[in-house]
Formats: sequence, C-alpha cells, structure tokens
Amino acid sequence: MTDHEVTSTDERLDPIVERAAALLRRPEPVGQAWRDALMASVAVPAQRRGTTMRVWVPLGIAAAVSAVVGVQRLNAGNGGDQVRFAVSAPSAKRVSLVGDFNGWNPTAVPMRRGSSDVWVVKVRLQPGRHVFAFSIDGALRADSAAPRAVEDDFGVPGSVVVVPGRGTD
Amino acid sequence: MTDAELVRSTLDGDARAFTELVDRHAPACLRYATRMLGDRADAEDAAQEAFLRAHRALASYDRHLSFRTWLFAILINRCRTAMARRARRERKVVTDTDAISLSFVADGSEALELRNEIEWALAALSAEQREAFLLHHVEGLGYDEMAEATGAGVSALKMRVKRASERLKVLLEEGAKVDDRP
Amino acid sequence: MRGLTSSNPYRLVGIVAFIAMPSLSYAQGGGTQAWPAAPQLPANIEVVVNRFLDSARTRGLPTSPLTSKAAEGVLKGADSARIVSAVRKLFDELDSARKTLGPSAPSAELVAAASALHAGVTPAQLAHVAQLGSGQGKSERLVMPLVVLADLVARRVSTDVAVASLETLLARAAPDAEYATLRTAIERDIANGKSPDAAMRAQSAAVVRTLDAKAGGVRPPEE
Repeated sequence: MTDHEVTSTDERLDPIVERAAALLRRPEPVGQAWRDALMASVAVPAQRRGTTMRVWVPLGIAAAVSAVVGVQRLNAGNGGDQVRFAVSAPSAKRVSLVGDFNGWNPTAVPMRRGSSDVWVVKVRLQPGRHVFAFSIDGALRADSAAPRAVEDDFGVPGSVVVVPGRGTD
Repeated sequence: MTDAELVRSTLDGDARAFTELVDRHAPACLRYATRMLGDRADAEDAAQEAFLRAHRALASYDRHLSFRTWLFAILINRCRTAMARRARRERKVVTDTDAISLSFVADGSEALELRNEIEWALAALSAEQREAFLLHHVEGLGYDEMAEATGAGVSALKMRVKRASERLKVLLEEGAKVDDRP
Repeated sequence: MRGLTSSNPYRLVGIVAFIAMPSLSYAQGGGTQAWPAAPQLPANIEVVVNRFLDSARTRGLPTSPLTSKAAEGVLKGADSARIVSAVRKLFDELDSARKTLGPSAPSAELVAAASALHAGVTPAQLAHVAQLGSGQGKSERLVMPLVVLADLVARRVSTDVAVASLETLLARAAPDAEYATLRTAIERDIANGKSPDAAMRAQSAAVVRTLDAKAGGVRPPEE
C-alpha cells in the first residue's frame, strides 16, 4: 500500500484531537452485499453497460400506475426516478405534493393544473418506499389510486409509492 | 502486484485484478465516505459509484500517479455530489453548531460512545474543513496528493486542516462538559 | 468540482432548530389564499426527536424517516405526545429491522421492513423472509416484497399466509413487477368479495405457475 506522509512537528495535533483522529482511522467494514453488487456490475463488459451508474440498487416497476390520477414512473436516471403524480381537483386553487421526500412541506412541491382539471407534477425520488399525500387548498387527501399507507399514526391517511433503482429486473 | 500492475491486468481483461484493487481500497474509501457524509448508506452509494466510475475510466489512469490519489479524486467528487443533492433535497436550515448537545436516549442501556461525539464534532466543521481534515489526518494523504485530488491549492488545504483541527479541539472539549438535557 | 456548500450537510446536528423554510408566495396565477405554512417542529419535542436521531446514528439507522415522521405529524396537526409516540414507534421498528436484516442492509430495505413490522409482521417472520431474499447478489431486493407484505397484511391477509405466499415468490427470485401485479390482483379479488386469505393463496399460486412456466420455457396457462 502507499505510505502515509509523516506528520511534521508543526502539525502535531492536540491530544484530544489526535485521539479523535485515531478513532476515526478505525476501518469501516465492507458489507458483503455491497461488494457483491459492485462486482456484479463491473462483470458486465464496458461496451455493454449503459450510461447509468446506480446499477447496485435494482428494483422493479413502481407499484401504483394509473392512467388519469395517481403515480407514474417516468425515465430513470442517476439516484432514483422521475415520478409523475396527478390528482383530479377541479375546484381547487392550490394543490401541492407532500411526503417523506420533502419533509411534508406543502410549499415545497406545488402542482400545476393541466388540462381536464388534473393537477400534475414530476418529482425525482430516491429508490425505496415513500409515503405521500396531496395538499388541496390546505386539506390533505390521499391518492385514491395508490396503495394506502399502513401507518395510521396521525389519523389522516397517506399513500405509498415504491421507486425502483436502476438495473434490469 | 502494485496498483498500477493490477490496473494493467484489469485492462487486459483480468476481472480478478479489479477485485483485488477493490479489496485493497474499499475499506479506506468507505471509511472516508462514511466520515464525510455521516451516513453509512449514503457512503456506500458514493463509494460504489466511485468504483464504477473508476472502472469505466481505468484506461485514462496514468500509472505514474498514485492509484489511491486518482481513486480518491473520484470519490471526493462523488461525496460532494451526494452532499449537494442532499442539501437540495432536504431544504433544512441548520443553526450555528458551536455547542454540541450530547443528548442520548435515557433508557439506561444506551452508552454514550466517544465515536458519536467525534462524528458530531466533524459534522460541525464546514465541508471543506472536514474534507481536508479527513484526507490528511485520517486517510494520510500528503498535501500534494490532496491538492491533486481536490483541485485546491496546497496552502489553502493547509489552512483548512489547521482550522479544522483547532475547531475540533474546541468542540470536543466543550462536548465533554455539556450535561445531559432533561 | 469546486464550490462546496459550506452549509452543514448533516441532517440534524448539535443544537438544531428545525426551521421551516419561509412560505413561498404563490407565483402562479392570482389567488388571495395563502399557502399553508411549512411544518415547524416545536422546540419542546425537537429536543426529544433529536435524541432519537442521535441514537439512530449510533445504531446505523437512517435518520430521515424519523425527521419525516415528525414533520408529518406537525403537518397533520397532531399534538406533541402523539408525534413523539409515532417517532418512537418508527425508531423501534427501524431498530428491529436493522437487527433482523443486518448491518449492511440499505436504508430503503429498513424503511420497507419497518412498514411490514408496523402492519403486524413479527421480527421472526421478517427474518424468515429476509433469509430467502438475501444471497442473490442484488441489494434492495427486499424492498418490494416487504412493502407488498405490509400492504396485504393491512388488508387483513393473515400474516402466516402472506409470509408463506411471498416466500414462494422470493424462492423463485420473482421480479418486482410480479409483486406489484400480485398486490393489484389480490386487492381486486377482495373488492369483489373474496376473503383476503383465499385471494392471497389463489393469486400467489397463479404467479408461481407463471414463473415456473416461464422458467420451463412453456407459455403460462390462461387464467
């Protein structure tokens, strides 16, 4: 292995910091799953691999797909997918998307009114399970076309979307 | 075999050579990424991406340079990207972190780990300071290597390391004094 | 890549104020109605939530689900006690998931496992499922099965039946699309009056037949 540079005397650390550095130098274990996934993806010859990098979190198709309202997975990219959310709310003035991906902040992801009074937005979500709802003029509403979240901690229902990572399935 | 020889073998088609390179450098990469990002899962993602990019770009590696430095340059970038992505995603504002609260779940079985204190202190550094401190005092890179890997100048890096060390001293000393909060 | 952000990348560190972003004015369209305010965690429970975050970091658990849960409670107008209770429950579920799935299980799997535990799956059942789903070289392959498991149990499929059925799919390395299809089919059956357990058994048997047929190079039988 390569050498470590000897610390010069004017760089000697205070003992409390040196102790911290020594603890930080302790190795991090390499997970077997991590290693396997890396080896699996580099086993593919370079010319056959696509431009994506996140091959190590492969999942399948998003769980809830609906034509008019609900959730649609769009193109995949680095670190998650573009997901299209839609809700029919003809008389609403302000609609936004809230969920665990934006701190349940109703100001973070406003939706746009499209044609036929369907409000839409496209959001990039990290792979995995997400809970969300629509904030319609301040009132929360779950997505009737998406699976209901099992959590009922606060008495107001939410919906679930599962976002795949990259890779084939 | 040296790293450069393993790179040569990989380019010649020997997959086990790359496996050997990964096994040599993954522990340090995971360590750096975990300390830098403060999250094991994010660190695994960043390290994974770094190795994949390195594998793809292997033909451009100059064997006269240190492989570790070359790999770390890629990893440093992946970590920066991860942090920028996280900052955009989370939109949270963190207040001044001069003081550290060493609270822990008061169920009696939770021992306060020294390591946890240190992670807190690290988190209170600016990203540049943390990066520089980790590269120099934990990963043991020299300043010339760090300059190559980060794109910053040597004197700027020395200043960051110095500031980081001073700040860590203050934070760790303060941390030892704070009582548990009710 | 220069220009590192100097803001702290850690989610919550030290003395943290979970400060809400200022409400954005609604630029698009007229409308006098103000946006609802972004969730702001009251100081008294912020301290308690912080402790869970500290503990989570120590145990290698993801922290963002916990902060999300607190924010969700604030948005939904829950009182402090209820918020803290929800965060504590999620913490316990994530912790149990970590213990069951192991130290290298990615956050997405822990979150999915926590939802399964929340629905009533036991840690022992979770361990069973995890064992079958591991060792196949792909990370995060448990997310979809666990999410579907949680949903079905919430719809009153018996956990034993649900776990056993999903294990038959896991054993065949069923792709995630099959779990999605399975769930949709079961929900349809339940909506049509079938008992949840009967729907689960029938539909998973159908999926298994399809997978076996594909594996054997034979066209699956028409349903």
